[in-house]
This record gives sequence, structure tokens and C-alpha cells, in this order.
Amino acid sequence: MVEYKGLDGTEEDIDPYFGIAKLDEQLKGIPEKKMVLISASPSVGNEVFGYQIIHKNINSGVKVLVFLNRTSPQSYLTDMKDYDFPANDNLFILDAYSGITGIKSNETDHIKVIDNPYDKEEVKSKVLEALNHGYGLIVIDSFSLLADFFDFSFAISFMDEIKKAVISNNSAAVLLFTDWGYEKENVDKLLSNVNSTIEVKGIEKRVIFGQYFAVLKCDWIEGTPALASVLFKAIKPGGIKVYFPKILVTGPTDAGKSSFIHSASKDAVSVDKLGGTIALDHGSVDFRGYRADLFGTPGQERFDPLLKMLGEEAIGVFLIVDSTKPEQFPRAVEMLRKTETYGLPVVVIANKADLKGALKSDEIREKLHLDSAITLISTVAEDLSKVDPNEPTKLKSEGINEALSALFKQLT
Amino acid sequence: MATKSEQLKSVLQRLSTVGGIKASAVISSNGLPMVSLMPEDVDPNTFAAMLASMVGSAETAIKSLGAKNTLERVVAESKDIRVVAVQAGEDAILTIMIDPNTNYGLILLESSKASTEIAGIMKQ
Repeated sequence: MVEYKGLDGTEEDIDPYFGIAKLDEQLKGIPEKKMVLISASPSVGNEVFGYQIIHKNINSGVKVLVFLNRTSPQSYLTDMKDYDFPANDNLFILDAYSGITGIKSNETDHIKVIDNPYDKEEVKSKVLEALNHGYGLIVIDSFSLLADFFDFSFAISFMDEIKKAVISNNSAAVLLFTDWGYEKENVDKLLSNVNSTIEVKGIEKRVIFGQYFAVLKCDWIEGTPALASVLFKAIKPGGIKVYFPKILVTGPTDAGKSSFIHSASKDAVSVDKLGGTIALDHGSVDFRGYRADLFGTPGQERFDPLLKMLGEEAIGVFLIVDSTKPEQFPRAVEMLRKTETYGLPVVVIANKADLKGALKSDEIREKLHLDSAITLISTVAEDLSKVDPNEPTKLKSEGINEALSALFKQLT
Repeated sequence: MATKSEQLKSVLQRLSTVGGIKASAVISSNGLPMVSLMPEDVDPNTFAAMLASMVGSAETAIKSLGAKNTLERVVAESKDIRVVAVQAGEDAILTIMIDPNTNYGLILLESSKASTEIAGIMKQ
């Protein structure tokens, strides 16, 4: 039984969650009695998925037990901390690693030790006994090491028993698995025994070198889950972020492209002289579990030869226009064409919406000939008295957040 | 068969044994980092975006002067750091950061060899 004391002190059941953008949106967390396999190819680490799931749950009041045979509890906790996931009182570790190295590990209230990890029976009985102590979530890190250590059929039969215990205790389990080239028959058996499989792999598509996750199966969501492969980055600190390697920010001169990038990201850099961008702006955005790299173009015509290179490989566009300058709107559309991003998901940002002479959203839509499906969002400066024509202006976060969330929704 | 990124990485690792080469990266011509051997405090994303725009701008500049051949390399220098960007096929750029007080000729030779290899790997 997962116990959770709400603000008013009443107890209610809550399910564990992944704490990972996109996965929670699509799978609605991990329901009770369910087992999830996170299956990675050898070139890609999956341990950060474990850390992040643990972090999310121990912070929402779920008691979590980690069966650990990959590393020592101390280095596990240090590694978690490096991702900014500090442990708390809800985290318990069953240490099946220290016994292998011969280094004596000290038992604490939160760390229990399996003295002889070579002994199948001891491992089994200690794990199964531990499962009866009201944990909401069990994390096995790692299942593949268990299979390597004993053999695959033992690992599978052990998993069946864990599954029974998980079901009778109303908890849930996450298994971390790296496929080091096991027999297909064994892997298939493993996959058919879990309720959901999330695949984590490397991708090398043209110039995009990265990592993605995808839901291969999930038996608590009707039909096939609509989650195709999602690019991600494991960032220290911060953890797993759904990742968009290139989003273009374009629009006419002085519309506010640099202001948008600087307001949306913490570490933006610009190549600008006398207040105008001459080569590009670049900034990384961290937003609600997502990470995106923004590339901003210059607006002046004389830099047009650079536009094609800046637009290449972009997967979405923020088109920024100055609400007070409808005469520039044809140039805005022309820039979409020159960057060769016409037709990509686009969010139009009508900046300077509070200035005198600013057009209303409807008028801007009409003049830009925007399809009704395209999102248009108004942004304004945080403090008009601080606007310096030679520096990017800080824009109000409401508009920025609305714009980011509108485009990110379209991109996944 | 090693993945492309493993192959690219091994090219960079070999380059790093040449005296004076402090860091290196392969980036895409449109500004995305692909593989890098860089100090941890360098943000490869920003670096890649800036370097690619330098190469893109230089290409346009040199063409506007009537250059008949394609751009070979771009060099940026300060007293303590020299950065060289070498075109490696159509899609990729090899960038290396070197100590300016070393055998520059040898480094250019090695980097142009490496760029040919990288171009080959990208075509696979």
C-alpha cells in the first residue's frame, strides 16, 4: 500500500511516477502492481533513469527500495547527488555489491547488506523478505548484472517471484537492464514478463548524434502508446531532459529575437555589435523537464547568406515580429523561406504588444496570413523603463513560458 | 562495427597525441556538436554554434572575393589560444584548440589528414 499524507493529513493512494517529461504525460506514472523494464543498449547508460525515478518518488512520499549490485551504496548516492538528486529518509538500499568486493559495508537504518551476494538463496530470501516492508517502489539496478552473476534463467525466475511480491504488496517495480547481447529467447522472455518496456538507445541520424528513449510496450494504456522515439540528454545536474538540438528563432530586425533567447535561457551568448546581432545568438533552455538549444538569426538583409546554415536541422521555429511594425511582416515570412524552415512547427511571437500602436492579435494574424492552427503569443518587456537599445531586453516570463510550452507540445 | 561516433572519437583521440593539441571536436556544418574531447567547463553547444557560424561566414566572405576553390580552414588566434576549423566533407567541421607556441605545420598536416578520415566516416 502506498501511503501518502496529503496536506490535510488524509491518507490516499498515489501511484509512483517516472519524474521524466513525456513518459509521465504518456504513461500517467507507474500504477500499483506493475513492473517496468528500462532496457538500454550498451553504449547508452540507463542508470540516470533510475536516479530520476527514485528522486521523484522519495520526494513525493513514496518509500523506495533499491536492490543494488552495480556499485557501492556510497558511490551510488554520490552519483545521484551529482545529478542534483539528494537522498532522503524514504530511500532504502539493499547492498549486494560490497560483499563482492570484500569491503565491509556498514549497515544503517537505510542500508541493509547481503553478506554473501554469491549465494543465490541468500539474495533471494533477503530481497523477498525486504519487499514486505511497505515499499511503494522497488528499483533493481541492475537486472543484467544479476543475469551475468548467476544465469539468465535464475534471473527470470527470481523476477517472477519479485513480481508476485510486488502484486501482493501493491507496490511497483522498475528494472534496469542493459542488453549485452544475451540470447534473444531469454530477452524475449524477460520482455514478455514485464508490464512495460522502455527502450533507451543511441541514435546517429545524419549529423544528430544523441540518445533517445521510446516506449515499446505498456499494458495499462489502451492501444499502442503514441510515444515514438524521444531524444534526451542526461545533464549533470538536472538529470534526464527531453532534448531538442536545434530550434530556430528568426524574424525581422529589432523584433526582439535576442531578447527572446536571453529571456528564455540562462546562458545565452550573442555575437552582436552596436545592438544588432551579426552572426547568431545561442542559448540553452531548461523548461519543465525539457532542454532545447535555440539558434537565433540576424534580422538584417545583409546577413541573409547565413540563414540557410542556421536553419538546417532545425525542428521547430519561433518567429518573432514587432507588433507595432506590420510593414515588416512580409520580411518575417520571407525569413521563414530563406532559412528553409517554412512548414516546420512554428509559434509566432508578437513582441512589444504593450507599446503604443501595437496591433491586436487578430490583426497580426490576418496581416501575416496565419492559419488558425498556428499559435500566436504576445510578449512584453518586463520593465519598459529599463529597455536599452544596445542590450537584449528582459521579457516577461508569462509570454516566454507560454511560447515554449506551445512549441514543445507540437514537437513531441 | 563501431558506431560513427566511436570512429570519430578515435580519430580525435589519435589527434590528441599530437603535441600542442589541447582539445578537439567534430561539429556539424550547421552548428551542432557531434563528438568532442574538451575540458568539462566548455559548453560544446555554444562552441559548436559559434564555430560553425565562423566557418559559414568565412565561406561566404571568401566566395564574395571570387575564390574558386572551397574554403579549407578558418583560424582564430589570441595570445593563449589558437582555434583551427577544418572543413571535413560537406556535413562536418573538425575543430582543434592548440597552444600557439607549438609546431603549427605538423598540426595542420595532421588535422587535414584527420579531416579526410572524418569526411569518409560521415559518408558511411
